[in-house]
Amino acid sequence: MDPMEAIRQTYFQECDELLLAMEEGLIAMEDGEADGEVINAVFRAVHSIKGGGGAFGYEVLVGFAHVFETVLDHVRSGKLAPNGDVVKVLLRAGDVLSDHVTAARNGAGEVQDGDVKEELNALSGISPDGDDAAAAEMEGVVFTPIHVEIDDAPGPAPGTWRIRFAPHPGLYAKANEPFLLLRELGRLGSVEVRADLSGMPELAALDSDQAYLAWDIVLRGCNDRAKIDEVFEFVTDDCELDIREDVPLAALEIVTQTPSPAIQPADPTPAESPPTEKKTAGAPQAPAEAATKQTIRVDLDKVDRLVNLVGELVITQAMLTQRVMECGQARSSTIGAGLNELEHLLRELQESVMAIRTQPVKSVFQRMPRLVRELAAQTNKQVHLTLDGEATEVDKTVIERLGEPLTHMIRNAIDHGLETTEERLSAGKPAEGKVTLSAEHRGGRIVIEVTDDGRGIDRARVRAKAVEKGLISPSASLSDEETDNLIFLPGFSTANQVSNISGRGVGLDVVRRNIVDLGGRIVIGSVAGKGSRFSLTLPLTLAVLDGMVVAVGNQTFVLPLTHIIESLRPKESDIRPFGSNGRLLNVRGGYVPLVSVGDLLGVEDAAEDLAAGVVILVESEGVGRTAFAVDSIIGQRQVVIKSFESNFRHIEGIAAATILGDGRVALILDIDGLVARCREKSRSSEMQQAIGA
Amino acid sequence: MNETGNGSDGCSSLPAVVDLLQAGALKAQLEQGLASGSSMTIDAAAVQRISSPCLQILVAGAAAFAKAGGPSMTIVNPSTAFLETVSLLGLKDTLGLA
Repeated sequence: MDPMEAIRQTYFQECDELLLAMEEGLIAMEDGEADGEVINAVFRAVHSIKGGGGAFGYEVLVGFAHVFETVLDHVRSGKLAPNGDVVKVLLRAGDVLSDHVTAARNGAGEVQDGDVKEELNALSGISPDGDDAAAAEMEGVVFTPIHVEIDDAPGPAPGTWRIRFAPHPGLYAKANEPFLLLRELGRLGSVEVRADLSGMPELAALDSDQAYLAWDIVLRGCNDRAKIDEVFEFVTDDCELDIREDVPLAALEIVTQTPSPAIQPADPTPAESPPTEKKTAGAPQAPAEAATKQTIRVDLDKVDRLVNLVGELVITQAMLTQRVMECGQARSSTIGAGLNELEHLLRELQESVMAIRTQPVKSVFQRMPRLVRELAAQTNKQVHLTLDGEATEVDKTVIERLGEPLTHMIRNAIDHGLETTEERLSAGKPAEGKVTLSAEHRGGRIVIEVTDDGRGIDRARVRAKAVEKGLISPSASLSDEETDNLIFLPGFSTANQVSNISGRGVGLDVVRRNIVDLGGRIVIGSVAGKGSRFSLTLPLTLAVLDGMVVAVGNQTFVLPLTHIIESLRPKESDIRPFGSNGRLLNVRGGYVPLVSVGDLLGVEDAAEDLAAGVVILVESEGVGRTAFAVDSIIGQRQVVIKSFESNFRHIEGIAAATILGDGRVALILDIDGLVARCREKSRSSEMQQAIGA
Repeated sequence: MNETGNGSDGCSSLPAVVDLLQAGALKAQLEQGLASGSSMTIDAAAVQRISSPCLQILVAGAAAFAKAGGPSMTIVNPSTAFLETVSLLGLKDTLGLA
């Protein structure tokens, strides 16, 4: 790859992270949690996006980021109060900046940023409650530098730096501003700045695109070189920069450090100009940033190769163990003990490797606030989104496929779940609807919930609609849960009008299919007038699976443990014929359809007598319980999933394959697919019989 | 530079945002003022943001007036933002605002 292209890609990866950080900060501001550190983080994110964008010549992006950054700078310096209206503009600006990044990444597309830019300019330019207020606040405050003798520090004072900073013309061309850099430096300690005018030409000879000024800066009270480097991070290529630690011998004269620019020492300043002392007291140094975790970027292919290799290793280990046992070695023998140790280490290795692929769900969750803002505007509803458990980690493949179903569910919650503002008010609810998106680990799986405090599912309407569409018979008796589940049926939609948000009737059935494809399940809970809750339960990884290994004739199959309720040995008397060639199994008084896996998949040598084998009770989406008859259970183990789709093609009723300890390939059954298949089979045989009769 | 009104008495005002786009016009104005041989007053009351390239021009302008002797260039009514910027950049003395 072209090295520049690689850097460009890294920039966009960083942009994704920075946009997330920005969004997170802006939402914290929206929630009124706008402390200095949050605002700083948002500013830094926008500044970094701008800096990198400048390096690649994304002028439009840089232009917009610059305006955005200016407003954030006003917020940061306290000139502009981050009230609700301001934050709304900032959030919109964040969305536009994100669009700019996307446009720059794709190298195409124009972003309509005029309106937001105007609003930003209005905030940064001549803001009535901005500068005037600040000026009023400052009036009469006389700034007096305080001289502090550091008696107890007779030796060299640590953290004094001499910095030579001489911008090149490119620095200005990329919309970077020394004032902002120096001010940033001022936050690290007290600064003493001397402008070097030796490079200045005569006015007539001056080219306004050139850089003539340079600065010699003394920074005191900063012990972290990295923080200084960070200030100049994006301009190092566009300036001459020399940073040296200095060790002064004499006691120091320290100017009170201010969040806004510190100025030259012992410089009595006119009344109207000083940085306020009030601010100094009110805005102490930002608390030390939480220790940042060190990370490296690794190509995903490399991780996948590692995951695959470890999978193979686990299989080889299982085979080796089996061979050793076959040779008559006891588990307690030296070789047996060694193999046990190997197995233990391998499991640990596998877990660690899997952990590399896990990511917090934050990357998906953070896309939702923007969606909610846009939907709220489109539907004219007031919506407040709460995110919870964003740090919950799950495999990257799961994360990648979560976006679409979550988007759809949020849409559904806002479009169908929440009432209009008038309806809410007349129902005695607050005008602002609440939507909560949460994630947590529960029992080795991740549970994601979308909750709203809207009208809840109108079961009578759902039922009427299902009857109208011929999905259920008018006489069908359905439990509340079954009625709720009707909304997942293909072609079901209760929206009176098809909106462009949701309600095309292709919504929730697609959501459910996506979730089921991921090995997950979706459950609804709803209380009329109070709201609804959609719970998604998903596996943490798509690379391994806990399964029950069963034998059917000469074949071995794996059933995903998540679908299994129990296994039992049926009595002859519990098996009843049903219909033409169907069978039912009596399980503690209730009857469930009994299906022979051997018959269903056409396995040779499968036991004919179901009562001689084992029955495994499984639960599948929307259908309920089914009893699968197999010959015997071999055991329960974690298997490495080998995808059929990526290596061969999709096979109905089979989810994937795996390699067992004895080296044999076993198919992992797709329970939902199998149940659907046997229902279809029984329907068609009934039909054939009807025709035959 | 539309925002920069050029009064007949050699007084001009800086706009709210004095960035790279205004630099050319600012320079031309100073050169014109210098050529006219009369003193020049620059009102910086409206300035919300001024970029370093424009400060360079003001610095060069101040030096040119000083070198010419006689007429002078004076910055009046500096806004908080203007003072903040020139203070931090160490240009306050140079621009006669100390």
